[in-house]
Amino acid sequence: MTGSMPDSGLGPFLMLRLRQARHQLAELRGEGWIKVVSIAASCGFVAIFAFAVALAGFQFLGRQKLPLGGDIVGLLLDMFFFALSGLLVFSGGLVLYGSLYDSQESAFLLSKPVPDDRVYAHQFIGSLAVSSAAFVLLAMPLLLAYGLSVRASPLYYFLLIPCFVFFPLAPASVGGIICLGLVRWIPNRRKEALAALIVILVIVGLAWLGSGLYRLRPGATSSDDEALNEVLGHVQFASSQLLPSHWMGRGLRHAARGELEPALRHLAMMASVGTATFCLSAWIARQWYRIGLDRLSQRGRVEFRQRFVWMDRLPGFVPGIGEAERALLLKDFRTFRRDPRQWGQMLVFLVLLGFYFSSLRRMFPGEIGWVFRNGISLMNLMVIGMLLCASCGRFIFPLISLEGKRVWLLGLTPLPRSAWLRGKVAFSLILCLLFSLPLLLYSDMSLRMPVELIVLHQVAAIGLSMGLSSLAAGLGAVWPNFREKDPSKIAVGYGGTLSLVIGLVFLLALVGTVALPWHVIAGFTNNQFPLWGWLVVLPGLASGLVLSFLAVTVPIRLGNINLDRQEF
Amino acid sequence: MTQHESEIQVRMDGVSRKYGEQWAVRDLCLELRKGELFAFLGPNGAGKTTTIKMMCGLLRPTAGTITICGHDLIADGLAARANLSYVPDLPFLYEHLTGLEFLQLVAQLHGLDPDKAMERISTVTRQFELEKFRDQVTMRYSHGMRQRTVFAAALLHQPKVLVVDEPTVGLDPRSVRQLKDLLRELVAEGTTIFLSSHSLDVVQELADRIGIISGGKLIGCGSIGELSSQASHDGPLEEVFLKLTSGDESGAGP
Repeated sequence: MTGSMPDSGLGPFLMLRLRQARHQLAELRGEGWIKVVSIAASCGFVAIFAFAVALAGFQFLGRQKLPLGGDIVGLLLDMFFFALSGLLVFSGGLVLYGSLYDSQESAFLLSKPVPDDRVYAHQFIGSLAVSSAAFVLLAMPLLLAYGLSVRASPLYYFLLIPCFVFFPLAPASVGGIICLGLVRWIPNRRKEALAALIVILVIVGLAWLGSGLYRLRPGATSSDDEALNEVLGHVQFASSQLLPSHWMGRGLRHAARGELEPALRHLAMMASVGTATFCLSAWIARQWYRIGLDRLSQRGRVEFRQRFVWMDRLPGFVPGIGEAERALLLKDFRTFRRDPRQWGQMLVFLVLLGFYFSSLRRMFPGEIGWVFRNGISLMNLMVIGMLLCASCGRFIFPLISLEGKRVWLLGLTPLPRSAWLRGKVAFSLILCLLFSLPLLLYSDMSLRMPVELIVLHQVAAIGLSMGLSSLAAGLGAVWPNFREKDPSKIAVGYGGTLSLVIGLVFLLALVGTVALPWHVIAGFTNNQFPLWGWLVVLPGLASGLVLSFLAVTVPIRLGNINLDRQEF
Repeated sequence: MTQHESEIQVRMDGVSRKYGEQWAVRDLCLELRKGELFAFLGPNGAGKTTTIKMMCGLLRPTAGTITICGHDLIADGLAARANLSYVPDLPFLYEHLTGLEFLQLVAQLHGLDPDKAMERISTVTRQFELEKFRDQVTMRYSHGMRQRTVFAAALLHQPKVLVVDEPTVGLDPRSVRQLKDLLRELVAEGTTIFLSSHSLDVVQELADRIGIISGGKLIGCGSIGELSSQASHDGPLEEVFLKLTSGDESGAGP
């Protein structure tokens, strides 16, 4: 019996996924309806928020007399899908790396008589679900809003579901091929290679942005229309006929107009290229996966040189913590900076935002109207807040869960468990402040906003950094997942999603109380801020401070209670 | 093929493995016969786990070849692994599957036809006394329950070669007794067992032959009597082992 060669295809793996999903649902039901309702409410909140923002955006474009079914909005859709493809390449590759090379499950499957490409396909499907969860949650509301705005035909809504299944295939497969290639060819330097790839992408992005800004330099264009044309011309590459992201946008626009043949043609091209890229990645996996795994284990003991790094000095400046907590903090900083997967994404966002802010003045040849400046300044605060929220959810929330593996060390030290949490909050707070304060200052100064607003925004950024850090770390202790060792999977789990939604609510509430009153009053009074306005702004500021205080203390308190109760 | 040749289930021919510049295993030559329990001993980092991983196809030898039931592990990996089962020191189970579903999955991965699979699942379920908990999700299993389920899964397809890494860790005395009985039964039925363990009493009680690896090299191989001769020391296995491996603290493996 033992010598038979199994050829059961992907059937056992699909059955495995279905059974796991069934038991997870049963487990969820067993934990009571509150968890189910809160997950549904969290997803619903994010989706409704994204839908409302997208609908407002399309209505704004409509009011500007931009034809929503026309080429400019088409280009915006192409840009959107192009950017999503880029993110899916990275996130798909990173999640797949953990599943292929750093999981007990893969080692188990590889010891069975199963072809390597099937193990790859199984892990690919799992990583695709994780990496494209955010894509579905954000893109679906946007596309629904677009459909409603252009009064799309039923064909459009009918084709949305297959689009969501097939669109992530190509970028995630490219991510998989990069992952397999890095491990196969440069296993010992894969982190450096990834960092180099990020740096190259940043440089290419900067060069691209720089050339665009050069064309928009003061005096180069004579009107806003000309400047707009320059900008659109600069991003025209996203509408290249060879890009699957363009086929997606184009196919959906045809579907919205009820044009069956061109819609199906474009979407079929996108689906077939996605499937072909996946097949190619599986074929490559058959050649490289096991060899890569082998080469990964061949690493010799690399001599490690301890170098002075400025980041390691930061814990020394944190007041009010003891030496042991400082040591924990230093450990978190070292772990963070030695993992380009963590800081690489932050760096890309930081540089892109920096360039966006620096280009604000140059984007418009004439003086920007006060209403626009006022609106852009508020929007920039929101963008920075949302990035803080997403980063805390992705990087800070899983930290306590990851400590579960090392609890034999931490748990036996003469440190109260509350110190674990304080360390995580301090770590997050330092990074958030370093990220948000200078960027926001730069944005407001570029827009020549008044000093009182700059101070108000800095206060809001401090409140956001403190609140979001405490929420992510505290709720990470309230809903820990000590079984999972992949932080990205912890972040997209039940607790991670709920924490993200609570963070978003806090962000909206804080910006709504601290900054929004000033912007509304200043918008109506054309920058002649009246004295009575402070009667509205100051109570708002006080409310914001109270909100921040609650966002800091409540999750930390709840987290500490849960940590003290935990048995490891 | 001579009768001796056909009896050989595992053959390692000049197997070596390097990590960076360091040799974890050097020039390992071994032949394991049908129905033999071969115990593999060695200090920590001596190369035991590396050897096991190479036998299961998880690592490739830097030099040399390994064949399982006549199938080369690199050139004909699927056929080689179809004849082999591996029970790791840290048993892996899918947390969100029941024990029964895990057994069904393993049967499918080995390509057992459904009727045969059900029959074998019933057999191993009885053999390992899994009836009481086989319908519970495995995340609630104790270490002993996990170990029994993993063993049951490993024996589903009646492998000709069973590789077992540290099977007694964390088991209570009754479970250890049952495990020893099971290994004896399997050997009597003709299964070849490659047992890696630090439990010298278990090894002494069960093994037909013992291999001692140190610093990546096989420094002793044979029955207990033969090892005693090689060590020029007549005493229990523990003393022979310490004598043969004295001075090795190199830590060759990863």
